[in-house]
Amino acid sequence: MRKERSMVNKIFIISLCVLLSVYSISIIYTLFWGLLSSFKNYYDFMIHHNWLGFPTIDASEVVNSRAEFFHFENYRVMVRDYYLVEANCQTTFLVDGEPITHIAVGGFPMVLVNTFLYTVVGAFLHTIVPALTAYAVAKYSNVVGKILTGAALFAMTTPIVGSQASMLTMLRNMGIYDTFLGYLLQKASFGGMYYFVFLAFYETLPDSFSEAAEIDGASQFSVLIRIIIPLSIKTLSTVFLIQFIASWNDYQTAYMYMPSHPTLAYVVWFLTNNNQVSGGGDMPVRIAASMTLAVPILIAFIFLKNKLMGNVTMGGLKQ
Amino acid sequence: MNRGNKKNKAFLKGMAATLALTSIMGSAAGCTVTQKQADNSDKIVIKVENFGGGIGKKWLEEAGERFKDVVKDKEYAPGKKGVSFDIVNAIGVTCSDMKTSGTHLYFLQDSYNKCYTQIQQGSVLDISDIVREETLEEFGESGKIEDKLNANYRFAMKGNDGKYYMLPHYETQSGASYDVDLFENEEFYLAEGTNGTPFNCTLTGQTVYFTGDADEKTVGNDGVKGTDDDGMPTTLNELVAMCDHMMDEGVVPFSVAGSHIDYTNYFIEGLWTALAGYEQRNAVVAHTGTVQYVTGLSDTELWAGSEIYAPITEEATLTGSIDGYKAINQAARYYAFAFVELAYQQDWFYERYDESNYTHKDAMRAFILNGLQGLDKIGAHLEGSYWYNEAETYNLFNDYKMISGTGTTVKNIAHWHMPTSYGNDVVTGEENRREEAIINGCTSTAMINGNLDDTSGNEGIIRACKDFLKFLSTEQELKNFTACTGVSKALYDYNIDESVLADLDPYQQTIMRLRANNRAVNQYGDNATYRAKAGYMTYGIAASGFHPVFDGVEYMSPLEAYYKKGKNAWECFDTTGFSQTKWEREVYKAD
Amino acid sequence: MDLTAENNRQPKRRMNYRKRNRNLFFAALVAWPILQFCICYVYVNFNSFVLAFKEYKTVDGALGFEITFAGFENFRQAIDIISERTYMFGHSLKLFFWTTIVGLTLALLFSYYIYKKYPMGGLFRVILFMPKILSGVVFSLLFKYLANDVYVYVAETFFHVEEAMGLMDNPDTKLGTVLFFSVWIGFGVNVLMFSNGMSGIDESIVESAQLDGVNAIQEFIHITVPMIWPTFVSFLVINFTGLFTDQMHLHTLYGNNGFDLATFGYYLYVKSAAGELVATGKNPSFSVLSAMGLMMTAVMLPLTLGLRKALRKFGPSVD
Repeated sequence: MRKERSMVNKIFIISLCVLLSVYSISIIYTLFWGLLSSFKNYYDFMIHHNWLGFPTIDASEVVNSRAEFFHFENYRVMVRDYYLVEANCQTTFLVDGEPITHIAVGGFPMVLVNTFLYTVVGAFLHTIVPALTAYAVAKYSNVVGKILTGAALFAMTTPIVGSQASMLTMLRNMGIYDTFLGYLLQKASFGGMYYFVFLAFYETLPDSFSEAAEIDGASQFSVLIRIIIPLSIKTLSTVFLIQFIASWNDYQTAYMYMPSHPTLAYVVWFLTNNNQVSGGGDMPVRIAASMTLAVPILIAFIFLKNKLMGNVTMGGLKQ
Repeated sequence: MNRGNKKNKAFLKGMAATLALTSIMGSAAGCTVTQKQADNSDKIVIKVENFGGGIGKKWLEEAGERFKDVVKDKEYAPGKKGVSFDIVNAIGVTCSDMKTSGTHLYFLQDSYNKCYTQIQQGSVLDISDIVREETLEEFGESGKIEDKLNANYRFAMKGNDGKYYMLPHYETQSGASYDVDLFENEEFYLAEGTNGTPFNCTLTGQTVYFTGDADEKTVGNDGVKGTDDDGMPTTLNELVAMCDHMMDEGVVPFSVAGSHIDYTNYFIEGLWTALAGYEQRNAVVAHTGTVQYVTGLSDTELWAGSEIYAPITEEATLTGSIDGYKAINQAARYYAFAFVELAYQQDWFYERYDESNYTHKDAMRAFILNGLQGLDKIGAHLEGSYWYNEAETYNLFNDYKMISGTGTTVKNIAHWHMPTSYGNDVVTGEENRREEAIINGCTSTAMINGNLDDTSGNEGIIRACKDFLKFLSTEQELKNFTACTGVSKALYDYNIDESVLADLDPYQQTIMRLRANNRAVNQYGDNATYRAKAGYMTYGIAASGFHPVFDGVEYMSPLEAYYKKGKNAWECFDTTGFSQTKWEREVYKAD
Repeated sequence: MDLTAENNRQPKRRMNYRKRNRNLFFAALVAWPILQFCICYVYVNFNSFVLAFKEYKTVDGALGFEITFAGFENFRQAIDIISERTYMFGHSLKLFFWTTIVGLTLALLFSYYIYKKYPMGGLFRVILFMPKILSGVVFSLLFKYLANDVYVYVAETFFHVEEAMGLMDNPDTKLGTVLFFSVWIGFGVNVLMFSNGMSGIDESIVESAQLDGVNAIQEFIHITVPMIWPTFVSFLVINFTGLFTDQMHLHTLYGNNGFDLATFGYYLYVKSAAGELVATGKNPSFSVLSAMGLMMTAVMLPLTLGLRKALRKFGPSVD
């Protein structure tokens, strides 16, 4: 019986391991191919049909990838043509009939500041607001809670048509267009799929934890801060991580609602799609720009993964 | 308390501190990054949004400098003399959010529908005063802007209330651009009589003669020797024979971007317009004139073995918009679809036309560098004439210089003159010459933001914007615009001097001469049906008339329907046309 | 003084006080989310909803549009459009099946592998999450070139296939390729949430089951899945709500040229960008698109609620 179980376990583990290994190889090869391609000249593909090999660095070839390989030319485009981004990142709009102009300043360092603010604060708000709302609905079950859940579902299932102009007009009239306040106002919403994730989590969280504290005289607020938040820290940090990454890679919202606060994702998108940029739109340049966006987040993830995804010892009552 | 809990607490504290710091930084950043732009307090600042694609902004910057010089002493507001410009060059410029935008002046490339919607919603400033009332005396001319606008299209710049709201900007020509050196070296030009090398075209059943020698070429549509269209086809069958001959010699006639298969529609509309002639093609929007329209399909093959059949046609004189569907069903449109089907059957498109990764930039490159470094030889590139400006922006001609070793960035490219008949009436001289009607492939306009009128104190800015538009409409500035961009102004009647032409690249010169010698159809109609449902009558790469729908799937071009769905020209033509019932139900609106 | 009555009133007063505190706390928690939802969703999108019942017509001889109440005419036109495009149902359902049924099941298995700390589990956890970290845009870009250009090069060079066609261009393989892509990059969030939930399973239950002789597969089916069922239901329901709004990454992969693979989400997205107040040729007006969106919601909302209820009621249990 034990032998049989051991055999079944082995087959199960090996099968999954093989499947995961194949998947991992596909992901790693894709990234490796991208990295290799980012050091090639466009013509290395077009003329030499060099789709798989190392960059052509033979100087005797009329078209070669020496500049891209030795001097990181595809990556230097981002630095060299950055001024085009800043020139494009300005906006003029009306507030009470008065024109206000915002221009991007601070160069590339400010892009990093913008990105940090946009991702960290935005992700925090877009995590904590759904979490607290879900907690309220799960633990203080009433009609309002049901309406909120229905509203969240409605928002998720309804495709909205043509509302962008409406949002822009409202933000401009409120005087918070192209400001972080305006952006955070939108981010501090409870809707989205993670509201349901939190809702499921809090609905299954035993009430015994909070009841014990209330009996001891703790206020609702104390229960939330000292018991509920720590118990849900793993889910909170997981969702925060996901929202952070989504914000990191989102260029459209930044472009639309905060045009004079370019983020790294917007810079990458601009430099890979604008025809004023040298090599803009070419495959190796687009891949190089994408790698630029990818590497910092990958490094941060590798260092922080245990903290954000690791186990947290739970105190209190055993489940 | 165990070590794990200590670590977790420390982590939480760290996160809290990070968030607090971030919030403080955020507030600080919010205060410092966004600011009111330093106001040139002694000048009026005109904020301009310019469409960044196409022709770029160099022309605007240069014209701006000249204008600043002319009005430097003019007082536009108390304490403000002269102007300065704040130009934003954006790809995504459209007129959609003008209502709360702080931009004063727009130079756009946007569909007529979108511009018309903004006008109707009151977002655009009425400029009737500078167009029809004020003269250009301030800038050295006696006339008015309205006098310079093409009389047939003045209505197009107006709203439904009859006032002027827009001024035309640039135009582009639709069709194909071919490699002149390749044509000369490979002898792809049509030869007069029995000069040149004979080629037996089995598709047309005719023997045609080809040459690379200028003296032996045919006269082309204009019937005159020594002009750009020498050696170019004047009938559809001559075009077929030309392409067949090219293929026979190992040269693929056409290159088109797979990722933008709808660019084939530029070629279709260019060919259609040339075959139809000005009146017939214009009838699609004007609903006047005489058209040859299709009533059915015969069983006579157009080209041997192609299974593409000749249409059955009738002639009709349109009485008004009620007959508009006949103009859309005109035979010339069918013949253009038929030619593309033949081209698809005969593999006249470069093999990558069905690849979604093959971008328009790739297609430009393949054409510019064709034959070099072992690359395939390609006869022509299919796109609107703006492609040349884009290729310059992309530095593709510098790449050409490097790879070809010719030491020059100037490649000998020309506009491919299209045939003007789907019969067999070849033009042999001036006595039977035909106009090669061309089509403006884009809608590009200049507008002033209507919200300037809503607040007092903007009189100075409004005046400055209007003065600038007047300045740009002077003869010299129109010429300067063409000299800088290599592109002509739409709907303005002005002379393009030889001195202006001389500085342009060969390709741009052929486009300028094409425009100077032939009438251009602009897709504006002065009738209620057009104003209500312009999208049904306006053709371009995104037009419904070029996007056949089969089984609910929309194809970007008839070519895509041919190779993806196995459809033919007749099916594509029929599904994008209108029956009388459908026209009256969905489109027609009484005047 | 009647002490008994007084003593009976004390607990009641305490109860009322407690209830009031709870209600106040609930109100404090949900005040902001409700306000934000009203401003940034209801107010901003109100016009979009009302659009479904309006018709815009041009006015000859004057500026402005004639706006009339269209009744259900826009809905009728939307039904016409949908009935001509029934293939989109098939694409949407296939997408749902592959990404949800197959994708979530695989995610569960992969999460289980990681949770049980089988060989290289830590490495696989990082790699599974990588497509989410590095943004779908990066992987879309790389995948496009690998599935088309590199595939053609390899097929023609090494396998001597004549005139090979890219996997994403070949009509026989393009749908399957796009579905594969959706599953391939879709594991990150699911695996993260599932393994997060699995790590909270009481070890004593697992130990007890192992002592009873269950093998890995039995443990997965009878213990792990039931314990993680609420999270699984959340993701299933979330994916279900996206049935008509998911674009299947078509715009990233094909731009505006993806109509032959279109889902309803893609169709709405592309047509909304090109849309106008008045219908223009092949593009329906904003009013018709808005009506289409509302119709989809009217169908999906009750279905989603029903699915959620059914899954909760009939899901597996640990017992």
